[in-house]
Amino acid sequence: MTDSDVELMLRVREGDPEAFRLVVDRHQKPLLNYFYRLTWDRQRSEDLAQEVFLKLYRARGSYRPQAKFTTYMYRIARNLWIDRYRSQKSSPPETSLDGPIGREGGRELRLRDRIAAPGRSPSEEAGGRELVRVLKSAVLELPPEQRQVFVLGQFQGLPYAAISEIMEIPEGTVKSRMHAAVRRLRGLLGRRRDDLAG
Amino acid sequence: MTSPADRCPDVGGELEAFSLGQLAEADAACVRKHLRACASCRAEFEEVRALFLLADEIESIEPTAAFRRRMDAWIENEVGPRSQADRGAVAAVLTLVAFAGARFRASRRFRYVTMAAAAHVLVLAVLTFFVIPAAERDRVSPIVRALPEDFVGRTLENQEIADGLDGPPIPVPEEIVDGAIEEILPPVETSPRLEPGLPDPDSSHRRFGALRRFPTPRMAAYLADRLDGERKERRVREARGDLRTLASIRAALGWLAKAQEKDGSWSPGRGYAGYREGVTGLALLALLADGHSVRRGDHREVVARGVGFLRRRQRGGLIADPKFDRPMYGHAIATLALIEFWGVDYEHMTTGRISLRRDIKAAVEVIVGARKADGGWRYRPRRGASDRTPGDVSVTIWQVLALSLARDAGFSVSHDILDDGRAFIEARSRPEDGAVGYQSISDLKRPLDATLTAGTLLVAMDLAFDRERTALRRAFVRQAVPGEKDVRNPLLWFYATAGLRRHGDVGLADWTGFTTRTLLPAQDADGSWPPEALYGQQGGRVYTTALGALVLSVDFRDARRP
Repeated sequence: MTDSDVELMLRVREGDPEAFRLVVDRHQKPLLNYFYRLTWDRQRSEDLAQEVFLKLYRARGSYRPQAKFTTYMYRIARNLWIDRYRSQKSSPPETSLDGPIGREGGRELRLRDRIAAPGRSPSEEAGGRELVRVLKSAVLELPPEQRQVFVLGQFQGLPYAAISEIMEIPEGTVKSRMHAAVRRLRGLLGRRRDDLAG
Repeated sequence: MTSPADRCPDVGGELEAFSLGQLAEADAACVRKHLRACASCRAEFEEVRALFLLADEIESIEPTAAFRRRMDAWIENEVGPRSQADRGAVAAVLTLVAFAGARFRASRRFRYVTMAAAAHVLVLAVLTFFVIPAAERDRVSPIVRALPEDFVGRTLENQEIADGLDGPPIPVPEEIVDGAIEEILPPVETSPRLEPGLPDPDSSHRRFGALRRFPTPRMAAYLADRLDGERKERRVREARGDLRTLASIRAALGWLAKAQEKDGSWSPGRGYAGYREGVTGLALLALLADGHSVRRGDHREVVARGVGFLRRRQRGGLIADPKFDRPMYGHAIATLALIEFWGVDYEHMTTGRISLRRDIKAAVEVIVGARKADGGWRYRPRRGASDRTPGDVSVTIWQVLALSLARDAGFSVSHDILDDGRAFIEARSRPEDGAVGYQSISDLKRPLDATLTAGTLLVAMDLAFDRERTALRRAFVRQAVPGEKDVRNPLLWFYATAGLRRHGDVGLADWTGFTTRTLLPAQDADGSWPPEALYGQQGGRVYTTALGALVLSVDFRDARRP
């Protein structure tokens, strides 16, 4: 029989190390991917995920099963990411549409060069990985609160009600932020396509 | 700048939530209705959905072995020591490493001892990886967790699941290898009736070759009870007072596992050979209903082989024996099984998602293309526009079940098809009690009327029947609990119990009592149920056993949707 997350956390609170191992096993992948989708940086995601587990463990004494465990966990994760984001806001984003992605033929290669590579039909481009790369970069250009909503709602597949609890905002705000995020992403993607067409 | 959808009061700002399945059904229905009427919002919706589909293409990452080791080390320091068994395993490995380091300096005798120790550890490791079930691996050994991520994948999946997930190249519709299929399979074309309303989401797939978000909330809800052991037991206790039926299901599935043929199929025995795909689908559905999959439970290889068989049988989208000319029952059941399999295992698949999705999509398209002119389905697919063969309610129920689950799983199914299905069945139902006839009201006769009426109740929510009509059918099915001398009809039992449960009907208790009283004592010692039942002659013992298990699984198979 599988223990629920809350039951496991109550066991953790009582000092059961095996229960904590189970919590980690169960949630490390989604948590890792949550940070990965906010940063597209595996190493950073691993560090952040580990830090969330550290915080979870150190706060075990004060854990109260008032909300769903994943909501509790993502709230810690979200706060951690916001802290890190604020402290590193001045540094450039990890990936940029116009940033160098390598060198080819002695010149710097940019992402848009890759997209505009000759010999590919528009449908191949659309279906190819390049468009995914463009989207990944575009996600990084979202304001942090919109990025959070997009990642939690689209990638992590959480209900709006849960996102509302995690971010401590009304559900209507979740909806409007998702709407704004999607519109912005569409705009960014559309501009790239226009660039290519031009 | 505002988009058309922003200016439109009915759906402004709702399209993202609608696309993500976040709206309550009533709100979603409003959006759907609006989208049918508003071309600019439809275009907007297409764009939103295309973006989400593209986002689904972004890869997930797995925790690396290094990360897992790091976490293990951190937990060891921060949280506490491993269990005794784990410590022993680590000690063994450390010892082995120490021996290996000393290997070149040791005496010959000492080397023998070293090699013997190494052999023991190797045997232990092999037993751990190949014999211990996956469900137990996580808590068995940290060594397993420290291995490269794909190691476990290499043990089972590549050998036994290869056919199921990453098998031979997926046949495209043009590659119809057997002329017999061409005769029975009409060209899969986009009917003009397919798209007057909602846009076809698969146009987005064509644009990006992308996957839709999965599991969708509806699919997750559909599978929720069966995948949580605790909830499952609670549901059974609530329904029946004890867990005897779980033991009965376990025995039935054990028999099915043994009865599986080498090619992964199940045989209808002395029944119709052409029903092989259908009974294979039923057997898989029974296994999946109990939560078994390629990653869970005791029958992982059985599920993998069964899925592999169905996928190998698929030609031009149709899952059937190429020589069988009445494939639609079996095709629908097999399609249902593939969709459920996808739902149960999707999150764990690291490869094969796209090809499996393509297979399911092709199977769904066959169902859509096979629809007769009257909106129903028959044994054979429609042969072009001139085919005026009438549909029948019995075949139609299974096609609707498959289409509806496909839609819940995120596949594109036009509402018009389901609307036509509703009209087709309504035209064959008796106004005063909702009873449904096979091809017309004049066909009404027992026991088929009860079966078809119960089947219609099961798909009532999928087809959005009128509430009053559904209430009549609920009353009809409630009172249709068989008597001692009635012919055994597991199909009726399946429809009736699942239909009443979906509606949260109080009459389910009588049916539950009946199925418990009838099925448990009738089960043979080997776990199977005898084929002496309605349609048992055609489907054989696999049919009665798979359906028996499905009937008893009703408590947790499909979430209640009152």
